[in-house]
Amino acid sequence: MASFTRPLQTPTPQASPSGARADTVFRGLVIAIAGFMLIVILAITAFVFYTGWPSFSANGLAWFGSGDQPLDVQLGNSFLGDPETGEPSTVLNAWPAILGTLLTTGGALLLSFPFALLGAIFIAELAPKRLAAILDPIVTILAATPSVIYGLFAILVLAPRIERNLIPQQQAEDLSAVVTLTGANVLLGILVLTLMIAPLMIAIFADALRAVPNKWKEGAIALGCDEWRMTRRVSLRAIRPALVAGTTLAMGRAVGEAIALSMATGSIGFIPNPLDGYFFFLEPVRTMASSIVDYSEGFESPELKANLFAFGVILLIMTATLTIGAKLASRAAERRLGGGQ
Amino acid sequence: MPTRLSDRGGVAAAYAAGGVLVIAVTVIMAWLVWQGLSTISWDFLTTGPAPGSLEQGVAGGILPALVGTLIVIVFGMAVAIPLGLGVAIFLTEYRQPNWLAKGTDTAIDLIFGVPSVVFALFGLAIFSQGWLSWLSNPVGDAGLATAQSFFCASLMMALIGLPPVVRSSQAAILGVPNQQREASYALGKGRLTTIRRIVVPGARPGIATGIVLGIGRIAGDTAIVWILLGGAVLQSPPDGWFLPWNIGDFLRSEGSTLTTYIFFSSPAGEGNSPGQAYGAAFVLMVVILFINIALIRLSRRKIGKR
Repeated sequence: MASFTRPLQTPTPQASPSGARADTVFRGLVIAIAGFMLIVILAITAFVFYTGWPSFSANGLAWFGSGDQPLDVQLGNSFLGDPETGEPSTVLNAWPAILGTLLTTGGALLLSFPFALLGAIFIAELAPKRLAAILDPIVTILAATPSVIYGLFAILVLAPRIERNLIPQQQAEDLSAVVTLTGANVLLGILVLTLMIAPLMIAIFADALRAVPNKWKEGAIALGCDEWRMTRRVSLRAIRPALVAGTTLAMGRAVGEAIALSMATGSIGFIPNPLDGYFFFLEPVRTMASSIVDYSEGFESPELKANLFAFGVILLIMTATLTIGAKLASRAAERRLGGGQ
Repeated sequence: MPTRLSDRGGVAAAYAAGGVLVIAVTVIMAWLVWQGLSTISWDFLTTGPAPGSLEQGVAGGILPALVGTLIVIVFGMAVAIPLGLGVAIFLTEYRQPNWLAKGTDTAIDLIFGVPSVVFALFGLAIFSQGWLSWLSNPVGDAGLATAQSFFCASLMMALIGLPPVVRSSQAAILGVPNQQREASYALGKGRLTTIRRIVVPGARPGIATGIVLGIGRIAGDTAIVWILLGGAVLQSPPDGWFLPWNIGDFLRSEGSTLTTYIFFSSPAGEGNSPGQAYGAAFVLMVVILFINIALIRLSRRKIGKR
């Protein structure tokens, strides 16, 4: 695997006088394009921070807390106006949306990591060659499937079944004063994200398993390991950086998913109550990313705009951290396996 | 078969995971094909949504959504390909000044990870400003714009199509052997000629892979279209929209793509007509399938060439 940072070791050519001019122009053009992209990306980042800042400065640390009013009321007030004063209010306590993002992403990772790891071992090491040859492209296609299709599957196929089988009438009535329980809830959000990210993780993990040098595996076999021991003791250790990289990449996708989660989580800014037992997972939430989609129509109000951009700031920080983490991990992977094969 | 009990458990779990994967894949695919085929017909593919506000998205076909997907792909990639190729050439062939190379490299990494909804939000804020109203349509005389048009959506789509183009092209350009460059220089050719005649042609399969990956990302994105193309409006384009003197107005108007059509027709959207959503999902999946077949072909060609 070639590193992107490897410099080309060719001498600068002595161009003919007629070509020299074109070369200089082209060099300038290419530098201009790179500079332009850098400026665009910096400008976008700066703009998002600048526009979201009023929301943070108006609320202080309470931005991250849970407020007296539900999230949806607060977001509504920020463009319709506070019923008491009539002025659009800047009050935002975003904890429900943060929690929604954390719950769905965390749940999906807990569910898909072990599954993806075992699935990747199955495809790369255990499955018959023919089955693996079929599963391989299918997993790639599943990883490339638009999230809206998974959202559709969730809301049309899974949601009615969850509603019918997991929510007893009695419980639903007991809680109806607090929140309406439907098939769209935390659990469904977790399932949608799992459908989205598990194939991605399987594809990355399986690729890494296949890239483990054969001589390492053969060494383990020669020392008397059976295939499972070899996988566990040699391959899984060797691909640890790829596991980190794949997981952070998947996490980035999950955190930023807006549409599919807006379909599947019920899209109500509710804080699930741990005291409700397993009903905790059957209560609706609204994530930060889907809040942006759900409220984008009330954009003329500067207060709501600041609030939505504040969500954007948090998403930007989270995904940037994850991207850098994934990059560091895959560099480590390259170092570790670079000499192989 | 492993001897230790815990090992046997591990192997069994891996087989179970494989089994679940096979079953899940079969169920989802069978569901999509079954439901999709019961909706799809020639009319469904070649007509627009039924006229009248009540029937919007409930009856009729998906032609405008299909055309919409095509338009954002073509326009988005028309911006992403030259910029992406330029960045890739800079990052591989030049890398000077160094600070610019490092900065651009990190920036491309960053936008690879940024959720498309953040780009959509940014686009909404920028394109709704009056001085950019030529990209969509002005609102009243308050100096604002609708910020919802094919132009606005495509420009943000270019940002999500760009990173795969850059990364695949970069890898492919690095794969072109240095001897070939040196041979070109030895023949007295300059840098531009070498890049144009040797480097880019040699890297073509990789560049194509990046382009196809970018197309896949654009075709599957919903958030940008929903916010910057106005997905709630499923109107048919006006007659003769493709005529040269109408196309400008058409591209500055709202529209839909397959993804927003699905979202709109799902129970979560206002249309709420699952049959239409299934049909559109099936068509979108066929598009994604073709994109992936193209990718597999390209990767085979790459291996064959070396």
